[in-house]
Amino acid sequence: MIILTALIIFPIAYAIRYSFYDYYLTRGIMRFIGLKNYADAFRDEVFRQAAWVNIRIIVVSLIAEFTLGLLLALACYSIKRGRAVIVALLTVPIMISTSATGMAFRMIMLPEYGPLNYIIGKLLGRDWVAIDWFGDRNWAIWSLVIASVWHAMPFVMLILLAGLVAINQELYEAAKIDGAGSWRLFRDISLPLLKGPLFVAFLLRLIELIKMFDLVYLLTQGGPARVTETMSFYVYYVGLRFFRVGYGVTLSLFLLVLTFALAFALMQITRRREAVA
Amino acid sequence: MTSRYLFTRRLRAVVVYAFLCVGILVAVFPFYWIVTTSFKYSRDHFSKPPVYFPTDYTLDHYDRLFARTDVNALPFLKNSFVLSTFNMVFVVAISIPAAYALSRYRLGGDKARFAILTGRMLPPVILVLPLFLIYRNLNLNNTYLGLVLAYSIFNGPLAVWLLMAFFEDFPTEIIDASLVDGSTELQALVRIVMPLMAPSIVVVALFCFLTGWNDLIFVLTLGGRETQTLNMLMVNLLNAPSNESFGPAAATVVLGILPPFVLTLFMQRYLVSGLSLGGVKG
Repeated sequence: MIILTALIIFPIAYAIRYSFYDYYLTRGIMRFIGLKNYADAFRDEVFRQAAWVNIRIIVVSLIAEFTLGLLLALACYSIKRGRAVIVALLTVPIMISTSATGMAFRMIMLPEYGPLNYIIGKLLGRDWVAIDWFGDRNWAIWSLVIASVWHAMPFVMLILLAGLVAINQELYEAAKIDGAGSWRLFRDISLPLLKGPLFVAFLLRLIELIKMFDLVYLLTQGGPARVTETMSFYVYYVGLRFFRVGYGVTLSLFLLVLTFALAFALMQITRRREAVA
Repeated sequence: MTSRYLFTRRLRAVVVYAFLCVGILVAVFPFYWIVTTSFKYSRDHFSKPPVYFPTDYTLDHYDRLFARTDVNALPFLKNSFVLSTFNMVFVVAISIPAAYALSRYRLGGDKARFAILTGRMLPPVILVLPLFLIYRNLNLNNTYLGLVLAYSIFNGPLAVWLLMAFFEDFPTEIIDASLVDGSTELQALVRIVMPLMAPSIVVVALFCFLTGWNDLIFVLTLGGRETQTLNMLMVNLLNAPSNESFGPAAATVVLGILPPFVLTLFMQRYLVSGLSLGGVKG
């Protein structure tokens, strides 16, 4: 435990020290500038924009993941034959790493040779649609969303399915005898009892989406014109592409405080939930 | 039952199955695409429209990865295995006592739990820069040790978190009984708790292995020529300018997918219970 703590504390202390310096690795200059890095970070438009990118990705992905995940979980739950096989096939994406996911979508989304544009074209009744998934300002962020939803949705589905299976069958029987339709069954029994699993899945996905880096690195590199730069990617960019280390470290600390605040909020919510339950 | 009722029921089943089939197609397609790409001839990679069902298959790309000299995947594969294994052993070794102490004696109470939760939420990128600077001074960049330490920072909290959930379900009477019989706490942990908890510990260990295996950001920044992993190889191949590297890139992805695939199949049963348990206990 002590080792673990030391492993985390030491780098952070180091980070705080460097955050007071103007330090470019490539030029080897190291100049004490006090709080200027912090002042810059507060005013940094790009960082704010990166946060906005994160937020948009989080909102859209979560909505898509939970709608699809819930629908698929319900569908899996309602069938009797072949459920095990179907669930196994649906959860194939879980077994693939984020980087492999990124690679797969890099190939699938190639504008001229990738199958995605041809498939969309077919659905629209044409041969091909000209979507430049990584180069177009408006589409680039969707490439990230699609890849991340594809990767994470089965995970949400699995958790919700486990929650559905755990619900006592007698509740449904009783409600049916009382004449409840399937919508009522879902709204008044499944949904309230799924709150726990829904919350867990939400929490885990939120954590992952805030950290988002791998997919950005593999798919868009933050481009075009930085419209898909997430916070993680921006910090990486400042520190290890421009080697503007002092400032990069300051941004890291900002992200750290943000994470702390979020963890604290989640902790409070969890505790209140436990108190109610 | 009226025939009308039967009809709507059947219709509904058809809709449900159709929906599931679409879902499966979407879920499996990228996987299918990568695998077929790795067996397709290069000319099929760049055809319009794309070749969905290739008629000719080739092992050329795998051949290039292993047999010839231009891309030699073996060192990359070795690095991936070494790093993931060391990480797994190290993390499990330090997180078992930690989790045991935390769950049995509630050491640190809520504060410790909060720290662990935060550790789990931390974006890796926060520590990449400081670690890079520290490692530069200690000459740890581009070493196994440096990377394993970096992985364990993020794996440790996750492992402790999962293990705590498992330990808390463990009946304390058994431990108390052995203490009464004169064993020390450590003996109780090693001789009684660990063998009984072996399945859960294995699952946690596999999780650790996988995080090491799937890492990209640390090997990207803290790794170097001697510590390149499979993930780096596939990034390099895909970013290479020549079209010729497309096939080997796909083949590398397939190689990279295989171990996680096998491991996940093996532990699928525990996946949901492990993950959701870890999340619920706040």
